[in-house]
Amino acid sequence: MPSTDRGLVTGFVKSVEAHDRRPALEVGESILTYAELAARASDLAATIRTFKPGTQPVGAVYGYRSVAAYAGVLGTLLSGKGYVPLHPHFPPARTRYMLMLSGADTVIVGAEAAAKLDQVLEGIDRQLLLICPDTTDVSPFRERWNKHRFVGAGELVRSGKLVVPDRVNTDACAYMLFTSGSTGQPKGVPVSHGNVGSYLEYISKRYDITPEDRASQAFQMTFDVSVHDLFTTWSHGACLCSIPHRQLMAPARFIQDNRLTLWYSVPSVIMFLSRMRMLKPGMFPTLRMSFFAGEVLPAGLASQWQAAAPNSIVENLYGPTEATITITHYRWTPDSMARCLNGNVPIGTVFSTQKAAVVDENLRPVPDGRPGELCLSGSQVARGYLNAPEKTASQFVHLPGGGDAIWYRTGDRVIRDPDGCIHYLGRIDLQVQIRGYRVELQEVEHVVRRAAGTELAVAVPYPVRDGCAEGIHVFICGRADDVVRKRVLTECGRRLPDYMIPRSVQFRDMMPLNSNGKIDRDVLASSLENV
Amino acid sequence: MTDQVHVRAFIIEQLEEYAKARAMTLPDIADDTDLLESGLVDSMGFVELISAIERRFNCEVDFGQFCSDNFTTLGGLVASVVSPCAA
Repeated sequence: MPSTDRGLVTGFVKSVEAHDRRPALEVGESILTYAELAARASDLAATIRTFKPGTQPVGAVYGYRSVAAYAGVLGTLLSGKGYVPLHPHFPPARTRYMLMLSGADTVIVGAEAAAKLDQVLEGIDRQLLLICPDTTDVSPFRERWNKHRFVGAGELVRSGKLVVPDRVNTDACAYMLFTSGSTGQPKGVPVSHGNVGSYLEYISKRYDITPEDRASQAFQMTFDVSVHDLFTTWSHGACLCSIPHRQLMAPARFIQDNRLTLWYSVPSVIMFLSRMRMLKPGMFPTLRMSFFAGEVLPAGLASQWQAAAPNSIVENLYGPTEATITITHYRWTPDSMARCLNGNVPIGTVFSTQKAAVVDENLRPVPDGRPGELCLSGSQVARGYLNAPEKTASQFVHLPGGGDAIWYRTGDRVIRDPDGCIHYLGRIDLQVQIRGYRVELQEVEHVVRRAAGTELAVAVPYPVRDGCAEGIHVFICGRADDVVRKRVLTECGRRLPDYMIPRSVQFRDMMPLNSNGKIDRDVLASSLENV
Repeated sequence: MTDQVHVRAFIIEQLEEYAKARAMTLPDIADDTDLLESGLVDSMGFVELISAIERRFNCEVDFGQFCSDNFTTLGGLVASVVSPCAA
């Protein structure tokens, strides 16, 4: 496939050639043209190649909403590696785990992440190439970490021209993200150039994005919808507008001041704006496309957004990381209210290039109109989890009578209408979503049990609506103990990202059990109503 | 009109409660401290805070009327509760 010759950066490379003087990126106070962004990225790529020519298939980017972070993603790809985004707001221990598991041997470090770098490097044996394009003097790092190689701002290799990767294998990893894991550790999902190439090709045909467009960049890079933000924008010569951290939850002014034409975020943003009475009809006339993904989209919010952005199409998209960004879509129309189930906008039909099946627990298809588990197949579906053959075998399966095709079991309960429109009902297992992030409750319980020194700790999402929770509360079996409570919260703060940190720690002498003899999570959840 | 001093004190009180529930102590905060960015509250916590303010002072805060976008700072929040369009 020629379109994936240079993999994920193919479109960016073309835009650099066609639109070199147009703006490619606005972040903070910086505005970079395609030529300028390409120069930054090429220097990073040349530095990677010079110091460490292609031994490992992936390189990490440790940064947040900075030129270094965005150029770092491009530079890593231009060097021929896939990228692993690391988030400076995540606990260093978690970042270290992701870095080690991914196998990355290069890390591009933005100024905003440098302060946490020492903590991340603690105990890492593998030799790393650490490129710090914002740091003039890296000698303090060198003195502390003589095992690793540091490259400061003045030592970057100046490429002088656009560095492009050699022909990229479509099976090679384009990016690697991590999803919450039931074993207590995050699982790595390598997404190939072929997977994401299929996605971008479909999106390019469906949506007419032009160099005049100004696209939002709201998603964190550790969330795969950010790949859509970056690469649909840069594939079409448009401008990517990174939203400052403090405006992420209430970006109304940002959309207006920056005259955005494309919007993409989690639905919580609408809820927040609405609750703050900041969403007014007609306030976003410049928007022409608005996308929402990552959590359930309530019909009322879709309708409010449509009123605020009267010139925009509004779409609800859905997809797990394992099936590359999103794989179904639903376009909101004035008649949509009647199509909604439980007051939620459908996740819609599967992309015409991919396949969806709704199955029972024996993986047999269920009739339309009956609930079942959503399974996905096609060129967007990844090969499996990194170094986790058992988990891969349980989630990536053959369907009975389905031939050789590999289907990814999403764990999501859905109902499909006869016309193919799919409604999301919730998670089949204990996974919930918090602020768009998938969370395995077992992962939280694992940390809590260790911190509390007990075998019995239960994490309960509360309040939950359609598989999305506001937060997690934990219950520990035993007598109330403030020391334990504090230790649990401290340990969770050290090991878990903020959306997984319990909002309260409660103690119970005995856990309530249901008729199957299992801990009755519903009873625990309802006890929170009185708190 | 609600008094600035009272609103400010009430917000600090709420933040202290929120910090206590997370086994943290509230650091010193100034008028330009951004409550979200500093991690003192998350977005849900911020919404809860607004609800608490509205209950306590029996008012409806309309941030759409508020001319500045610094309403997530302590000072900005106080101003938006006390006099929405004066800032």
